[in-house]
Amino acid sequence: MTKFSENIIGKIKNDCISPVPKWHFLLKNYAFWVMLVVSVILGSLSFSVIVHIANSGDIDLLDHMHGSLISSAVMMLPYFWLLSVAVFMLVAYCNWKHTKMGYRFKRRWIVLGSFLGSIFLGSIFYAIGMAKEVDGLMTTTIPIYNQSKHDALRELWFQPEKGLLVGKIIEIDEVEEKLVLRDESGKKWIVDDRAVGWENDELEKRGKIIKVIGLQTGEAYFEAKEIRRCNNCQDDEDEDFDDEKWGKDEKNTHKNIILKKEDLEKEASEE
Amino acid sequence: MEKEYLQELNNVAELSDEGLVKMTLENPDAYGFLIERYEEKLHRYILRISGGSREDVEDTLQDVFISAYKNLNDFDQDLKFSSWIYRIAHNKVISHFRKITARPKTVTYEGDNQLLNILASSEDMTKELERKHTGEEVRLILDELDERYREVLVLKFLEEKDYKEISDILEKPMGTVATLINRAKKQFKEKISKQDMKQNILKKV
Repeated sequence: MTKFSENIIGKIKNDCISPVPKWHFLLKNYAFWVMLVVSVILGSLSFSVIVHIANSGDIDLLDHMHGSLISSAVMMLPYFWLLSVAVFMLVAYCNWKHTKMGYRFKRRWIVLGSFLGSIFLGSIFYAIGMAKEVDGLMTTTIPIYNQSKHDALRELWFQPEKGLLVGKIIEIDEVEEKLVLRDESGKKWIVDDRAVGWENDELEKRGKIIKVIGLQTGEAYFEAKEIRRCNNCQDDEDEDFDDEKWGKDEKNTHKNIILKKEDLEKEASEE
Repeated sequence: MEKEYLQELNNVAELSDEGLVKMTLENPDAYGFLIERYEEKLHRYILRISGGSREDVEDTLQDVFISAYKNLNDFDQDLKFSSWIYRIAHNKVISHFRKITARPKTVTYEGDNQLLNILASSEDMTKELERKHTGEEVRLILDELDERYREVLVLKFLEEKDYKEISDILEKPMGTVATLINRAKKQFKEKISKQDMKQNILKKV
């Protein structure tokens, strides 16, 4: 033995140095793998919610909103979920780099793999309905998420001058084929829906919140071309909106609607 | 009795590195054989990449062996033991020397003209070039290279490691190692050419 090796062995023995137990390294390695898998799953779930939001019907508004395509597209982006995908991809990348084989692959391949993995798993999650569940869970458990969702919805859909309107149905005139909507600010709108195919018959009820695509024809008048269910705002619907009770007080007739219309016009001119 | 002991020692000495790792985990004395195998190589390697004083290099080398011993259970059987312990040395040099000095001092080691010869023959550089430059000049040129370039040149041409081993030591993808080596060779040759130009000018003056 050389003097140097004798010194090292002597130091090991004198200082009672011993190898760190194997379980310590295994635990550390497994921890990185578990965090990697968890971050890929969470990233995929975020991606699936993006697909869910994109498929909930608002993306095709881009065709409708001529002239403000970029600003409308920017308005529609689900920033929270995009950020969430990016963060989980970054966490996945960091964890991958800390695994024993992490250094063998170039960064671009790891990022690409993580991205494709998120798309693949995210599509599966979306297909089995998990995206809707996650979105719903976030809406019910995180007030700020719920609030921001509604703010974004209002910002996008409350643009009557661009032909977008969202509001609650407060009256239906089946004869004249007109609706009275109340928007979030409390303003009432008379919506002509004779040229409209309803997405769903269930929607044509008082108390339902609907999204209308069409044309503003006056201060409080709107001509509908399309009426959609407001996917993300049905929670706001007035559960106590009692059709029967309404019927008792005043019949849902053409005459009543016309009278109401006159009131509305009066209100509008006063404003 | 003594004959049997010597025979046993001989058997241990003939074990592979990986076999010695297993044996060390049962008996720390077996670690002495591993130390003997790598003492010189690592000493030279640390000196080459750090350019530290002899004392600093020895301290670092001791740290390397103690650290390797503590982490023996983490030794990955997919790697060569030599790659694993070179990696520890590389990391120790980074944490030890680069804290002290932003730029290593002049590297003083033998066999630098070996690097020049290899680089010259690998890229058909002229024999004339080999004759022109002394080991000392090569040392100075190496010193001027970026640290990452210097280290890959040392590993590839002086430590004679292949791409896979360098990749395992530096913990970089093999493609990146290949790129680094190419760039390092290019930078090395550029420095050599500049050196030639300077010498020519000096001669004319």
